[in-house]
Amino acid sequence: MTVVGVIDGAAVALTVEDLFRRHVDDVARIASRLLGPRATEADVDDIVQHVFIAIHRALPGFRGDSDVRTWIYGITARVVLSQLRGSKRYRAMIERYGEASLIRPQSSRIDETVEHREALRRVWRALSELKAEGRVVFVLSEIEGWTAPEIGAALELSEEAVRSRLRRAREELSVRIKKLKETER
Amino acid sequence: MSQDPLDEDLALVRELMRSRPATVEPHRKTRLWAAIDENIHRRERPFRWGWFAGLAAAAAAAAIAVWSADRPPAAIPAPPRPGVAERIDTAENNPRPLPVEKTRWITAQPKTIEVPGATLALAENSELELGSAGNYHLVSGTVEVSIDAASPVVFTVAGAKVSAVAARIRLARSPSGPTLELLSGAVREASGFLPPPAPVRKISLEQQMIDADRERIAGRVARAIAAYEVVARDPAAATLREEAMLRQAELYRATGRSGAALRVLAAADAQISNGLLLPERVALEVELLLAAGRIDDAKRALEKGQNVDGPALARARELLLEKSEPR
Repeated sequence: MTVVGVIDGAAVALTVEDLFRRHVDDVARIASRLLGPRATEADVDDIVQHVFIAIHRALPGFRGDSDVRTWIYGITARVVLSQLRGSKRYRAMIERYGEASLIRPQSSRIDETVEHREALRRVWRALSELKAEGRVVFVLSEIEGWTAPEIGAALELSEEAVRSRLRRAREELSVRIKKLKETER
Repeated sequence: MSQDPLDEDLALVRELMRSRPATVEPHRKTRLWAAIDENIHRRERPFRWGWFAGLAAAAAAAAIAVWSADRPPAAIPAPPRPGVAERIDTAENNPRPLPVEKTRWITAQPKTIEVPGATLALAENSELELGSAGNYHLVSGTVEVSIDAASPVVFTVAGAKVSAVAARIRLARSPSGPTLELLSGAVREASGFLPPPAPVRKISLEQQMIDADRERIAGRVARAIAAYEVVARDPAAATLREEAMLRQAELYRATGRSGAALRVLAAADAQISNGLLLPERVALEVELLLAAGRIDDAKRALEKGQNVDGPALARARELLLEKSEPR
């Protein structure tokens, strides 16, 4: 059975191998951002494998009425979501966020570097305490720069639901970061 | 008015949070695809009813053979004689259970196995029935038989101990020396005691690839090329072949041997028409041809990559465009 999809405006026959070749970089990038800075290469590879196996299973049902890229990114986000929800390994990984410095010095000024590091640690720590749904929506929006309709299409949510989750995630993060800042003083 | 604490932090770290590598290294890509491909094919593999039927038939035949085997009367230990073992532990006089490891059925015809250097001495034609719980099986090979109190009979085969499980045996002296004969038609193989299987070929190839990478990174170009060559020539190399050939071609180019690089790439084309690293291969070929001033050949090479894309190909297209433009 040949599945036809639209890539860059042209109808092409889709195989998992072609999709892997075209999109593995994006899938790995999105997975690593959703997993956070403490994710190892093995964690990311694990997700990438799950994603392409899921794509293989879902490919016969792909009707081509959405962009292939959106469809794949949606599968990626959902796979990460299910891993974040279900796996002890991923929970343990999230718990490690606050443990160590997460960045290399970006500036020669020590105070600036420290400030960046602390901010990054606060954001990831607060993110790690969010529910997986809110966290994924927040990362896709704030880090990946997706629009609400794009996130909705990927996660099979209404635009309204995406906006609502995003708003809630932002509010919760804001409160948590404020508390973290207060305890640091 | 104070800013939202989240926005404050995000303003500082948004770029850092985005700073993950934009691409997956070719080596990692190859490994990832190999794992995915294997998983997909494992899922797709149909249930082999033929094998199932064959196994069922073999199991039935083995069971019938066991039931129909000629069973001697109750065990009567051979009386001690000069030159005969004083005591042989059997299920009767040594009720401790014999170690039984993971087993699998095999079919076996009655056969005689040489027992050079056996410590067990038996009179000619003496038979030993070890009882229902104390039966033994030997795999082929040089066998050494010894008896001690802890484990009644231990056969050592090529360094691995094969323990008693479930077949009647007769120990007898042959004209040329001690022999051990299996009487029953079906025996169990104590596979848990057998030497571990040889490492899977794929792992070994991956290790070779890692070694080749190490040579390359250390700057030992000739050795790296030779190591990649070994991987590329291996019939089981599968997805590693393409990467090995690409690495070889890159190293040839780096050492100024463009002809050799192009030959390797042509060989890769012939063997792997549509591999995962096709964009990188085509891009390298285009760059080599352009460096040699073969613009038309470079255009033809680029056509091989018309259905794929990637940063490497984009660079090659730009390069070709630059070289093709009239001065």
